[in-house]
Amino acid sequence: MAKRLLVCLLYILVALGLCGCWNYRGLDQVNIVVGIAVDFDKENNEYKMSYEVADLLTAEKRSNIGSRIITSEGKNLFDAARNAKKKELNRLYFGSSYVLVISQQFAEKEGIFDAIEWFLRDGECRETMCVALSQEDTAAVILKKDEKMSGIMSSIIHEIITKDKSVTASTIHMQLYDIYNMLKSKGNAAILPALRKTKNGDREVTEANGSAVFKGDKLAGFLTPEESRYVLFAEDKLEGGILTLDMLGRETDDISLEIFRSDTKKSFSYQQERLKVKIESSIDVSVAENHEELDLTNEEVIKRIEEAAEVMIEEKIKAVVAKVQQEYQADIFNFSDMVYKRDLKLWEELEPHWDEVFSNIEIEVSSKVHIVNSGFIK
Amino acid sequence: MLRFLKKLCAGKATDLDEKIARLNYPLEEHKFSRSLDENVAVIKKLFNNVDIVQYKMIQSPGKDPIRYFLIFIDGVVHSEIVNNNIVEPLMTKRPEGGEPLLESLLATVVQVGESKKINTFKALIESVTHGDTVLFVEGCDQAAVLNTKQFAVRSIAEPDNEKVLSGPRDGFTESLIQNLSQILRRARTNELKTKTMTLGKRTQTTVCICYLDSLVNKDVLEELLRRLNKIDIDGILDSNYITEQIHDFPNSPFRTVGSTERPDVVLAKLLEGRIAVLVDNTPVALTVPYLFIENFQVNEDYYFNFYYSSFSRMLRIMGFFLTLAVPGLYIAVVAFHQEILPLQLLMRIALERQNVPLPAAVEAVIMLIVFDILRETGVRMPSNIGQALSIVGALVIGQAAVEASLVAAPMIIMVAATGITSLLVPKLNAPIIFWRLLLLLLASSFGFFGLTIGLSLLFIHLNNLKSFGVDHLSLEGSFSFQKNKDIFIRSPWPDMIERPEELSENEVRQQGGGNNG
Repeated sequence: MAKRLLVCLLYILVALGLCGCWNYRGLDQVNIVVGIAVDFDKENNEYKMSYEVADLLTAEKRSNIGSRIITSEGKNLFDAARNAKKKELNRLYFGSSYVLVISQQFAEKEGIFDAIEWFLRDGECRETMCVALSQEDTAAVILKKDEKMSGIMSSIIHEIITKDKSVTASTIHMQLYDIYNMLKSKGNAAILPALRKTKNGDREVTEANGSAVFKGDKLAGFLTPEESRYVLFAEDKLEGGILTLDMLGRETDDISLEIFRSDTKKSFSYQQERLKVKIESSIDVSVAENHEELDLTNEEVIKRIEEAAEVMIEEKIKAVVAKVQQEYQADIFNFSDMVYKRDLKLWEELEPHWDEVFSNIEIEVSSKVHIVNSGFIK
Repeated sequence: MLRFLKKLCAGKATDLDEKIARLNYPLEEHKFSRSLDENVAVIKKLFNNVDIVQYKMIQSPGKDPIRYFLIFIDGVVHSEIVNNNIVEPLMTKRPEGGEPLLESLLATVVQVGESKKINTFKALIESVTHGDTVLFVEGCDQAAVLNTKQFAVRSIAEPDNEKVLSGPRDGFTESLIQNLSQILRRARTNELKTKTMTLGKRTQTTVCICYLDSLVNKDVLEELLRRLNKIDIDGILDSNYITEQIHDFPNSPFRTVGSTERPDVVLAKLLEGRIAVLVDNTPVALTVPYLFIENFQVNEDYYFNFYYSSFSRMLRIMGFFLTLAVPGLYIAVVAFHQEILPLQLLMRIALERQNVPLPAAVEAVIMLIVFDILRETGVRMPSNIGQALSIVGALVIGQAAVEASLVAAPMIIMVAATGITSLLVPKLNAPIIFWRLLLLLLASSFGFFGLTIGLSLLFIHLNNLKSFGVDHLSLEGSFSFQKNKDIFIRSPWPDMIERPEELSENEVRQQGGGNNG
C-alpha cells in the first residue's frame, strides 16, 4: 500500500513538470490590454507601442468600465512591451486583447511580418486577435476615443470589423493567424481591413474604410469599401450585405437585394501557356427595397432583376481582380495556393515567374443570382 | 421464638450465599435450580442495585399452596396485563391437569398470548430487560417468559429529511416491530423474509434483515450475513454503527451502504433485489448493495411525471459536479486562465477584485469554511435563535464584507452557488466537502491541470468502489435502453422491464408489459 502510494506520488511529481509555464496571476495585479497599436518612430529609430487598457482604478463599481492609453518605446516590439512596466503599477496582460492596429508608415517601410510574428510567438496574445491597418498618420490615433464617448474603443473596432461581413460587407476580417498563413503561403500577399477617423455627428469616430492590400508584407495600396465587397465575393467569405441595382434607368439605384447566402467556387485551367481562373458564385437574395413600378409577382420581372444583378456582380468581380492584378500584383485571392495544392507540377513550372503569370491570369466570372424571397406586401 | 426465626432465616440465607459464592463461573451462565429460593437468591444478586426490578411472591389458593415467583421491570411492562391476566388468575385458580406443572399453568391459568420456556439466567436477563415477565414455579427448573412488553413509542410521522410533495408520508420510528409492520403492510407475501439477529454485547440490539426471497442476489445475502456476524461491538445505537462495519471501503468518504427512513423506499429497493437491514431503536434502515446513482435517485422521482423527474434528476447530477468543481474552476479561471473569460466578464471580475487584500485562492478557502460554519451552526443551534444566524450570515458576511472590499463579490456568488448546489445531493455531503477542498487546492496550485488531475483521481476512486461485490459506479454496461432507463432519466413505468442485473437473480420485472423493451 505504501509502495503504491509512493508510485502515485512519483507519477504526480513527474506530471507536474510537464504542465507548461502557468503562473498564479492575480487579476488585481494586471493591466488588461484590449487593443494594441504599433508605430515606428523614424527619428529615434525605435518602436512605439500604444495599449488601450481597461481603466479599473478610477472606475466605479456600478458604472461602465472605460479605458486609458499607455504608450511605451523600445528597440524592438518585445522591448517596447516590457518597457511599459516602467511607468505602470501593474504589468500588461495581453490575453484579452481584441485588436492590433498597424500604422501605414510602418507597413510601407518596415513590413508587417515581424510584428505579426512577435504577437503570434508571444504566448499570451490570442491568435484570433483582429488585425487592421490605420490610414491615419499613426496607429495610436485609431485607439483614441472622443472625449464624449465612454466605453472601450478596441471592442467597438472589433465589433465593426467582425460583424461587417454579414451586415455591410465592406471590409475583410483578418485574424492574426490568417495573416501569418497568408504571408507564409505561396502567394506571399495579404489583405487587411483599413481604418480611418471620421466625423459622426459631433463625435470623432473610427470607421472601417475598405481594405489594404499587401504585396509581400509591405503595403501596396487600398481597395474601396465597394471593391472590398467583391473581394469577399471572390474569396467566398461573404455572409450578408446588400446589392443595389438601377432597374428603371433613372440614375438612382431603385432596388435593393439583401444577400442571404453566397457560395463561390474557384477553379483553374492551363491552356496555351496561359492560366485561366474561373470564379463561379451562386447567391440567394431577397428583395429588401423596391419601387412600385416593378411588379414582383411577375416572373419576367424577377428574371430581369436576377439577370441584371448577375451581370453587375460579374463585372465588379472582374474589375476588382483586374485592379489587384494590374496595379498591385498581389495575389490576395490565393490563386497560387490553389494551383500549388491541386497541381504541384504546374506550380513548380510557374513559380519562378509567378508575378508575371499572376498579372496575366485570364479571369472568367459567372454568377447565379436567385431571388428566394420577394418580401411581397399586400 | 422471634430470635430463633431470625436466626433460621439468616442461617438459611448464609447457606445460600455461600453456595452462590462457591459457583466459579459467571452467574448468568448457570441453569435454574429446582429450588425456588435458590433461584430467587441468584436473581436478586444479579439485579443487585437495579432497583427498578420488581419481584413478587404469590401463592395459589387452596390446600397445599404452590409458590410462584414473578419478576418484571416497571415501566416496560403492561401493568394491567400483569395484574389482571397473570397475578389474579395465579392467586385465584389452581392449575388443572397433571405434570408438568409449568405446562398446565400456561395452558389453564395464565392468560397471556405469547409465552416460552427458558432455563438459564442469561435468557432471563434478556427477557426481563426487554419488558417480559418471568414466572417461576416451585420445584421447576424451567421458567415461563410471558410477553407483557409495552414501550412508549413515537407515533408514525413523515421523516424530516426525506419530505415529499406527493406520495406516502409515513416514516419509520424507533420501534423495529412497528417498522416491520409498515413494510409487511406493503408486501403481503410470504416471499418477504425477515431474519433477526442480536448484535451489540451490552445493548443486545435486534437487527432484522429483510429481502424478497425470489429476487435477492444470494451472493450478496451471504456476504451481508458474513459481515454482520463478524461485527464485534458493545453497543449499537444507530444503524450507522453497522454501516461503518459492513462497508467495503471503510476509509472512503463515499458510502456504499444506503440509508432511508421511509418504508416505501425500502420496499422499492427490495423489489429491485436489494436487501434491507432494520435496526431496533433507530428509524434509519440500511439497504445494500448501494450504487452511486442511488445518491441521485429520490423516491419522489417515481411518484411524479417522468419528464419532471428526469429533469430533476439531471439537475441533481449537475449539482453534484457544480458543487464539487465550482470553487476550483473559479480559481483556475481567475488566477491562471483569464483568457477563457469574455472581456466584459473579465473586466467586471477584475474591477471587483481591485483593493481586495487576499489572493483569490486564500479567499476561496476562507469563504468556503465560513459557509460550512454557517451551515453547521444552522443545524446545531436551538431553533428559537435562528434569526441571529440569518442576520450575521446574510448581512455581515454577504453585504458588509463586500462593501468594505474585504471579499470580492464574485467570490460570494461563487460560494453561494456552491452551497446551494450541495443541498441538491444531501446524501453526498461527506465526499463533497472533502473533494471540493482537494480540487480547490489543486486548482489554486496548478490551474486547470490540477483540476483535471483531481477530477481524474475522483473518477478512479469511484471506479474502484464496490458495494458487496457490485460495482459502485457501473460503467461497463452496454448502451441499451434497459441498462440506462433509470440512470440519467427516469423512464415511465411501462418501460421499466428489467431489474438491475447485478442486483437481482430474477431480472424480468414485467412480462411483456412494455411497449419498447
